[in-house]
Amino acid sequence: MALEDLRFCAKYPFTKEAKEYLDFLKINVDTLDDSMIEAGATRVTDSLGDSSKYARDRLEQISKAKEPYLMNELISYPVSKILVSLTEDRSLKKKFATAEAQKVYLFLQFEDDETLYGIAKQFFKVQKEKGAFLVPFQEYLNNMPPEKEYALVNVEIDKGKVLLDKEKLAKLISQYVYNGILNTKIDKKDVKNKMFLFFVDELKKDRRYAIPEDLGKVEFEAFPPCMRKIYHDLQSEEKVGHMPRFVFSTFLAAIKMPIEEAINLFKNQPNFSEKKTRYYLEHSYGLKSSKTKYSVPACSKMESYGVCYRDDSCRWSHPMTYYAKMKKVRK
Amino acid sequence: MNPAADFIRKKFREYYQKKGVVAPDSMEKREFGFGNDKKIDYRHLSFTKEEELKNYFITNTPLYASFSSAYYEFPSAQPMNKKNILGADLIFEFDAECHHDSLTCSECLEKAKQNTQRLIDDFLIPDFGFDRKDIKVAFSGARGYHVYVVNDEVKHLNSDARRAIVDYLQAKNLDIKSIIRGGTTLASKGWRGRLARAAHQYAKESTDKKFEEKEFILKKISEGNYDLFRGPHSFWSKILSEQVVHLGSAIDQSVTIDISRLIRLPSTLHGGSSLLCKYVDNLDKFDPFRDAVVFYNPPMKIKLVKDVSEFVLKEQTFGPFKAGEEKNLPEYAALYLICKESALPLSL
Repeated sequence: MALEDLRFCAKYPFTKEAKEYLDFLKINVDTLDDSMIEAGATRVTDSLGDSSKYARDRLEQISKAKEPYLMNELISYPVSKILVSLTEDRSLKKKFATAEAQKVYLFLQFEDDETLYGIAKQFFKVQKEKGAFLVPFQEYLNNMPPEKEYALVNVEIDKGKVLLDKEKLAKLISQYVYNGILNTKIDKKDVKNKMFLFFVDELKKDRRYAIPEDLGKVEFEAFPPCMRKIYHDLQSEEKVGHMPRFVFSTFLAAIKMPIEEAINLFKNQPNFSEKKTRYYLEHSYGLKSSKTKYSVPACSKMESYGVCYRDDSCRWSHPMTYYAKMKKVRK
Repeated sequence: MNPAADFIRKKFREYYQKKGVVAPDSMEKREFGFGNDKKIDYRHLSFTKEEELKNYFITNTPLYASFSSAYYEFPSAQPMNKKNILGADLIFEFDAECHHDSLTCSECLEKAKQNTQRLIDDFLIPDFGFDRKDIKVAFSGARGYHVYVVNDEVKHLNSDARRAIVDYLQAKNLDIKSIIRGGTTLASKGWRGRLARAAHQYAKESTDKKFEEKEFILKKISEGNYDLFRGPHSFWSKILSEQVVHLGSAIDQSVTIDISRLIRLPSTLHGGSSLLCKYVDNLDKFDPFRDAVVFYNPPMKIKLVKDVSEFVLKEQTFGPFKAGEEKNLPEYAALYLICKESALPLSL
């Protein structure tokens, strides 16, 4: 492979060109050697710092890099994706995905229209028309970047197609990469090479970035305004709707309030039934057969559910972050 | 529970024996839920043949019937994640938020109808590019309308994507500043163009001194200059409130967002009104208090248990009635009052 083709694969290891090249080299999960897995783990660790620095550093290196660096960039990407997936740690996945997406976004800024279009076509039914890129709104929505300027309401949409300029298309691709990392699911049982599990454990040890799993004793005073409001409503005799009950129970599960205590919080409700309340709570706590543990919705979702009661103390985008930070402050 | 539930069920059964129930598309992949006391008392049911569904209505005759907008591999499996979702239609709900005294408030239902029409004509077709033939409208049997978009393209939208559509219709998070900043013209698409055209129209009609030099100002606006609309945001919020689709409460919105929700099944009767939930071909001409009334004329004796103000069904005016009065009314009007828990049957 020509060096420039390899450079493309190293910059965009999620493209079909990169995957085909790895196939050609017969590099896959079962043929990886330990040093390659270690390189993947290093890539993950690197990504946990400042994500824009992660992107800039790589941009600086990649344009002049020689084959060994490029090969390392190419191979370590799928490895690191597998590693973060195996940690089953959502905040780690997000951190890594953010850094990778930022990198892709930065790299794409330096590409000409044709290269950008060529990459975009691999993932979207994109068309080029009068200098704009048209993407079907379904594909756009499934990969819509979270920033306000990318909200559907702030972009142009016509007959089912979203009109994007070069920069916005680059952002969409980077969001696609982000989602791809978050949605990668790998079962531990399928991983034969034990070195993977060794590095997964190493990564898990270094979890400074995460909200501590054990938040300690339940403190009502640290509840975010939304949960405080639902809590008070539950105590009054006013009937509280399904949605507030649901989000409140996910919250109680997340702060690990013992289930018996949690049931007590619903007792003042006019239609209280211990049996039903226990059933619902056990679902939220992931104690039912499905073992699905519902997570607390982020503030944006709370808002669309109509249960956000934001006040000036809300400086975070997730009720759990609020709770964890407030608990820390109160110590 | 309605004290006359058994009576209503008997009447509903007679109706289902005659008219049957129409199976929804891909029935075997849908989940069904039924209710007598509440709208849904039990769910996770499924049917593989239309005959089975019809028999269910004759044997069990639920007062409320709903089906899933989602398609599942195993629609009756529990809990939800064992159903294995294959996709879902895109649904919007418009309920008349009626606080008026009347039992048949056509004014409020009319508002819901207008919103429904606007959703289709101003958003679903021009912006989202849906084909009219993929859009179906149903009267819910009670207070509002459901809009269904049924095609392969919407099937795989996840909840976040559906939430983004709801936000779009309500112009949530709209960045007015970026629109005023320029680059936006009357020909712009989506909300940008919609607001530009509204501003243009406003300037055209305004008698405000500010807009006196009409020709010059309209030209400026056409060129993308919104200087005259800078400053207080009240202008834009006024324009916005006229342009958005009023989807109503968070509950109504969750019908669109939450793909595990069940929706009223067209071709079934609504236990709270005795009206038929049905698909509507010509929304403009549709009058639920005429076109969704399915019961018959023979008179029936009832006793009023509540005061009832005047109401109209099948273009006939009834009432007002006082609690305690006994009346002979056509079956359809009597049953309507019984379902509303305003009357009890005297003849069986």
